[in-house]
Amino acid sequence: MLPVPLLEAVGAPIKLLRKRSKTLERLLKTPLTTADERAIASACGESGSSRIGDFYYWYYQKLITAHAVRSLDGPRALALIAKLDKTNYRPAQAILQQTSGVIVAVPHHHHYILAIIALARQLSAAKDVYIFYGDPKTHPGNEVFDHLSGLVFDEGRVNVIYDNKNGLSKALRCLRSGAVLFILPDVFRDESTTFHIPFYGRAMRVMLGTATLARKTESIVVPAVAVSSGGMSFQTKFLPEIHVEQTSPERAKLSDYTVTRALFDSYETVMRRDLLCWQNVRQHMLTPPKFDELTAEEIDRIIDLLPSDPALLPPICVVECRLPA
Amino acid sequence: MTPYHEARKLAGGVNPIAVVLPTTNSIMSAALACQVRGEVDLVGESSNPAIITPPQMLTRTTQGLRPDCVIFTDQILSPPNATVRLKADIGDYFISPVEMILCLKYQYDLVVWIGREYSVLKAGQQTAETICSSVNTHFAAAYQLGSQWLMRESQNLRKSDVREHGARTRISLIRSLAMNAYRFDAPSKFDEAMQKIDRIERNWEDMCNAASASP
Repeated sequence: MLPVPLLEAVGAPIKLLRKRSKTLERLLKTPLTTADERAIASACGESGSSRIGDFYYWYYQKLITAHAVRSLDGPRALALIAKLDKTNYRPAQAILQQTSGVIVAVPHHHHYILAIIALARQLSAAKDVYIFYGDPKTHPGNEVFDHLSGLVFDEGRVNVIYDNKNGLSKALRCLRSGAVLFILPDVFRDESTTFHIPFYGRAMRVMLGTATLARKTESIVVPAVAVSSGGMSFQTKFLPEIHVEQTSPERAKLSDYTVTRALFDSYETVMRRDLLCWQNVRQHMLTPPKFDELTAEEIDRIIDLLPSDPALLPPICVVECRLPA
Repeated sequence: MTPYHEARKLAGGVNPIAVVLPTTNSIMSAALACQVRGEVDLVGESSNPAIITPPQMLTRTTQGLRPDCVIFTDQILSPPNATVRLKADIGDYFISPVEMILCLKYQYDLVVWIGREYSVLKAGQQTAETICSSVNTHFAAAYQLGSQWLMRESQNLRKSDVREHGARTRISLIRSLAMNAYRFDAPSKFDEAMQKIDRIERNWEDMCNAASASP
């Protein structure tokens, strides 16, 4: 394989594309639908770009980085990550000084995997570090995380916890003992347990799990986002930490919702410029565009009208049309 | 001969007729021409002002008018207008009651397109089951039209599981909007709001279970 900087230079003209190219989509293994194209145009609008080429170029970068990291042995993969990483780690010192647990919440944005690896290695010199994600058995595609952790982490310094019942118990124990837990809060396992928050003005489903873990373990939440640092490089932006107030059991959900909103509000401040580099960008930009910020009085009136909403009324009759077995 | 005129000939008799047709370009053009000549009313759910909704059609009927009509039942998908839950071999879905009301209450003969032929359902000899069964056959035939059937992609919206997902999303969104509105100041009214939403959700789930279990 050619060196990554050379590949980067070779692919740079992709950025200039203003029209769709099905050939390129095939090469990048990213076939787009017409709806995807609309979503990408909306995302371009948010980030001040006017070219679909920016989207293609990001996929190109992702593809060659993933291929490079996978084809290298541990030390070489780490050397490549170090070369691409332009992060100023001084703000991360605050994490090391915490006596409570710390949840580092990283969205699936830009080179988030490389950012997690680089930061986890830094923190693991002084703290127990855990990375929390979906079990590859139930989340196909996450094998790459397993592969990379085996490759780049010294044994026992950084551990993986799968997102299941046992994993959750373990995460609670680790955080209570003051560990650092990396979590990716912009995906959900079960739609029925999600809530909606506004994200770039659109309603987005999120689980409140990050906030719940923080509340139950009195941990702080540190939002951290991988963003572009020019070319193939990335840097991790550390955003103001979020402290979770203890609350009554009746208000626990509301508290978790408030913390989750604060978390994603902070992401919005740094993701806009590279919104095309967010893994969920297509899906999110297709959802109905508005999350109405209603007042308490307005929402109370809507709740009173809800029982007569036609979508929630029973059918006027049920008629059997199945053929007898 | 237009599909409407063919149906009129098949039905014979003196009763007004309601012709159930699928939405295709050619059928739509022929039906619009009939409507312009004042021969029929067109019923469906469309942004085309020539097409009236089922409640508008029923209002005309209650006013003593009983015009022949063409019903594009494949367009009638929305929860306010598609209120009959039909249990079919392909799964439960919702249809409009307009054909049943016209036939069972206002003595319309129904002429239902079922592919290469029409099914004629004479008023006074039908039940809700025979009418729904014919509409069910109509949809099965419409799927055979492939891409000619302009409403093909939208039919998912009448499926009961898609409806239920939509309703669940709506309840979840309203719960989130309430949390969002009360997040900085949550008086006891917030607890009342949450309790109301929980109650509405429970009632709705009970209703879904009952509809799924019956008849």
